[in-house]
Amino acid sequence: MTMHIVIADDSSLSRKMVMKALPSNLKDVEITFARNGKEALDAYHCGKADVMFLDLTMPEMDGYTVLKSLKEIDANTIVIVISADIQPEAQQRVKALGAASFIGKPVTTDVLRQRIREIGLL
Amino acid sequence: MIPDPNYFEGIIQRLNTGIVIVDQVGHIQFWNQFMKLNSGHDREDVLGKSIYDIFPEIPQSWFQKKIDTVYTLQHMAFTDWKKRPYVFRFPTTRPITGEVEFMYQNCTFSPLLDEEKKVAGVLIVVTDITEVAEQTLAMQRLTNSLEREKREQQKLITKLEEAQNQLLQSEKMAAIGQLAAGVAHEINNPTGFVYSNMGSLGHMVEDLMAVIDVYEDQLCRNGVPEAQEAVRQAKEKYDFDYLKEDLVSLVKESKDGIERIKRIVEDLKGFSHVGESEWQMADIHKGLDSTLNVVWNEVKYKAEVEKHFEDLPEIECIPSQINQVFMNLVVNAAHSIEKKGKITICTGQRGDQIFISVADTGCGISQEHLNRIFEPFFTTKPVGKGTGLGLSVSYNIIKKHHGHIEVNSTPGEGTKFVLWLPVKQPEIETEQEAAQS
Amino acid sequence: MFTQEQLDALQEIINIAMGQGADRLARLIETFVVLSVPRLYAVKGSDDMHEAHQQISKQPVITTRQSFIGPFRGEVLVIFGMNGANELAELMGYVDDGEAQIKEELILDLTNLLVGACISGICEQLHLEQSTFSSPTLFFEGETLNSFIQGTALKDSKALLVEIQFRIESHAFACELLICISNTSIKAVSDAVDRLIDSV
Repeated sequence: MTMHIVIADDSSLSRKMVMKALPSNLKDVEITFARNGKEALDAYHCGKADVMFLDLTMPEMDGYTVLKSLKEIDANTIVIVISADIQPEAQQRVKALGAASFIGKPVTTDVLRQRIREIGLL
Repeated sequence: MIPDPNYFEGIIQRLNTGIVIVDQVGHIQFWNQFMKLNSGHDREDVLGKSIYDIFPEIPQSWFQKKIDTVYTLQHMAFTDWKKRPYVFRFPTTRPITGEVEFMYQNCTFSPLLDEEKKVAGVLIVVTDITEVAEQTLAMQRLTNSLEREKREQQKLITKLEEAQNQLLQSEKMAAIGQLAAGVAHEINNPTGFVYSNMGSLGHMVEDLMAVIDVYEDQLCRNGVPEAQEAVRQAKEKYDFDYLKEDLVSLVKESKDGIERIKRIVEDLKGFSHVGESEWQMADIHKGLDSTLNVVWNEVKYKAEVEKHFEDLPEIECIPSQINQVFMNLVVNAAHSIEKKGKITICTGQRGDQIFISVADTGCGISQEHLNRIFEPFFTTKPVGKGTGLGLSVSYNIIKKHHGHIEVNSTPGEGTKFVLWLPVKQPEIETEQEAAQS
Repeated sequence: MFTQEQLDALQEIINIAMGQGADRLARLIETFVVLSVPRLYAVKGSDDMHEAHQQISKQPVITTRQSFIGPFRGEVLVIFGMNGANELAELMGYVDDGEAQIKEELILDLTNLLVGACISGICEQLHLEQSTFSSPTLFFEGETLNSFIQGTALKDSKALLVEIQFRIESHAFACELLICISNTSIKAVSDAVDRLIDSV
């Protein structure tokens, strides 16, 4: 079964960095890019979000709002928050909202893969 | 050749710069010769001890924040002698010729990283900056004193400008006065003989008429009819009856006219008071009347003038200057009236002061302007219409007379100026001022 | 000087660098720091500076400067509002014993912190050798940026204007960083940004 991954970030550099950091041995995945919160939610509604890498500060709709909406609709969606705000308070807040994990920017391959392993995604 | 570690240790010890290494809580890990020589503490005595114990003068919370900054940010921190002359209270490096008692310092705090790139200590480098600091401070003092002088000069320049303006204004007034006096003098002489001629003319006309009456009487009684008819025709032709009446009133009116010219000339002389810029006892009412005559032209179409004069003693003043102030007030009052209004002038005495008030029913002065009307160059008149000097000059004249000006105004209703003047001037100052002028 | 793609990348790099800066500041003063997303403008030269950003150039400001030396080389001007800094003094460990002096030292500390976070973050992410820093100093005070820049000859450089705003407890605090990159290192930066973009 195809796994749908959404990478939501307003920075193209960060979107690409996340994609590059994803394990190379993934098979049968479909990756969708979202440039803001609205696009991220749209992607979910098109049934294309099993896993979402979510930036917190985005135009149109911020990551917190997206996370809250997603969790209200479907608590099973796996959301990994990726943010430049690396203060413990931000991490606690997104965890409280139901994020599976938190990665501080800049995203590195090592950290991303470790987090994915931690939440048992692979 | 690789020099042994002692070689580098020796270099650091001999650097003419303070080197201290502390850990996260401020315990001293390293201490070079410079620190020893300046603090008087041997290396062995301070190693492992808290820097706050060795230097109680260090503000602990501030210093610890610097160390925390280096640990947390892994980034350098600085102190600047301008903000904090010293961190360590060391004696001055110029004990004989210097002006300051302690060593000015700049310090840098740098992170020392271990193999795992974690901060293991803070390297504090203390630079003696006394030389530069002294020069900078001296320059600062110089700049400050120059700035101060500049400000004082600016004040003086402003004062000078004010004085010059007043001088200009009073010179202008003096010139006008001289001109007026000159003109008055020139007009005075011809007016004099026209006036006396007119007097004679009046008498002569009366005499002439008496002679004509005799002629007529004789003609009527003894004349031949042809002569009577010729005279009747001539009288009719030249409208003799009217001529007879009119000639008398014409001469009378001319006399009145000449008298008025005489009065105005007198007033002009009185107003300009050439040679009378000295303190003297003067009748204020006379001055007011003559000034009113001079400015009558500006006033008569605008306002009726009501006078309520109480009995006044003669007061000690410079009459021409008081007249100038009074003229200013009356002309301003007339200008403030747009179409037709009233100017009320009152005088009176209260104790050893007299007052002259000029009230108008004009447009009034707004509160914001009221505070500024005595400022030089302040005017609400259009450019070119007023110099903005009238009231400022008036103010200074009254001040010089040891009096004061009160002003009350209600926009839309009118303005009232009250001049208060002492009957006698305080003695000594009058002499001084007279000497000055 | 920079392509739009490079600027987008730099925007994110600075965003991340300032995020790290805010985190360090928060740890230092033991308070949560709310940081807005920094906004980045490219500025060609001093002529362009006031046009690029009308808002800050019209108000009187306190401006500090700090230079960074290394492969990435230049000076950062940090532009503060005239009365923004007072509340931070206590949080930064200043005992209230002399206002002007304290305020100035605080502003210099803040400059050091922001510049350090920003420049170190850029170097780290671009894999450039870390720059070393000179002591921050007060550049000018009470003038508008506009009038000051017009009266000062700034050496030819390329600049990035970064607007940042952070809130600490109830105190909002805004400032601008003008990162002036010397012409000698502009290529190194540009190449490093390209390498980063190409690597993903």
